[in-house]
Amino acid sequence: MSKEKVLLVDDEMDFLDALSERLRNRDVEVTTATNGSRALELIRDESYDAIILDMMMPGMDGLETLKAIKADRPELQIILLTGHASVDKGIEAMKSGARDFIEKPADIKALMDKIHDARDKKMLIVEKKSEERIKEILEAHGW
Amino acid sequence: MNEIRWKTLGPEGLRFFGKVCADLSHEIKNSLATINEQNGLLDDFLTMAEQGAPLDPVRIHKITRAVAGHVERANKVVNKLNRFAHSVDHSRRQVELDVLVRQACELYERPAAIKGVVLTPESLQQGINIRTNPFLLQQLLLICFEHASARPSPDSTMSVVVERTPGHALISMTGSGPDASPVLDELLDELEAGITGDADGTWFRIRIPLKVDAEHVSA
Repeated sequence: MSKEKVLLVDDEMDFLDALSERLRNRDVEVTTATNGSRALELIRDESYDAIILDMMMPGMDGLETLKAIKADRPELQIILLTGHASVDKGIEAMKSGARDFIEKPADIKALMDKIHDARDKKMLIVEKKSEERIKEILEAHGW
Repeated sequence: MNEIRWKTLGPEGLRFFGKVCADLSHEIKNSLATINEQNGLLDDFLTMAEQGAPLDPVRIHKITRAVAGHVERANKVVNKLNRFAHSVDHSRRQVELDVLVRQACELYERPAAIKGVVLTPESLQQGINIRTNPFLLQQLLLICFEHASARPSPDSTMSVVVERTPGHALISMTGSGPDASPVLDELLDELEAGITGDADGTWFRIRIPLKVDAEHVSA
């Protein structure tokens, strides 16, 4: 199986550098972004198995970025990182399509499990989409 | 504080206290999260070393420097939180205005940064001592910062100036003053302060009397 591809988005550089290195040590291919706008640029050119997104960032915050990513690429699986386990924000994030939540400081094993789950979920969605597309083609040609 | 005023300022004050504590605890969490990742990275290196990979002292130093930096940062935030928590100790006391305004600026540093605004205590004249309610004055300042940062200047900076005029202390800020509200009215009344703004909306000023009357001294 190929390496899992993760986009890690957080405005704290020291956090971003250390967590991305730890994920790479666990055989994950990691791309980083320090803000939501950059994350949106990256998802247009590349697909990721999971996007790990900080809730509170300058400019476009985590929730806004989540909504924009879901509008553009609904199949992408987003795990929100939060300093506060606020119930209201959590409900809003899940309603907006977040796959999961993890509270800072993050446990690397729990995070890896969530990345595996996100990849499985994304593969299911992509497979389902492919099946639907094949079905459409077959029906269109009357095969 | 009279009963009617307390009905407005009590719940709003509690909300303000909670919001500041939540913002500061978020900053502490961020530092703890980074320290946690640096610790995890160190653990990864040690695991690799046990498996025969050489330990790189340069990398280890980088980690220890990052940890030290975040301990220092978190400690500064805890100091801010502690000073803020103690601002409710006395309903009225003598304060050095430049110190209090600088502390309020520090409380609003990260919320401003989240909005992409740089809050600059540009010129804070020293030696202006006023007898006031430090908690309520911080609440008033943060309402003003919040309002001004919602409509920042084209260069996304917000300047704060403290100066003395005959009989008054002035706290000036770039931007337009906050909209009228029951909380703002009660705060201004309680602090005996007033807000005036330039017609073009580039600066507004909080004016606080320097004169201390007998009622306030005994309160």
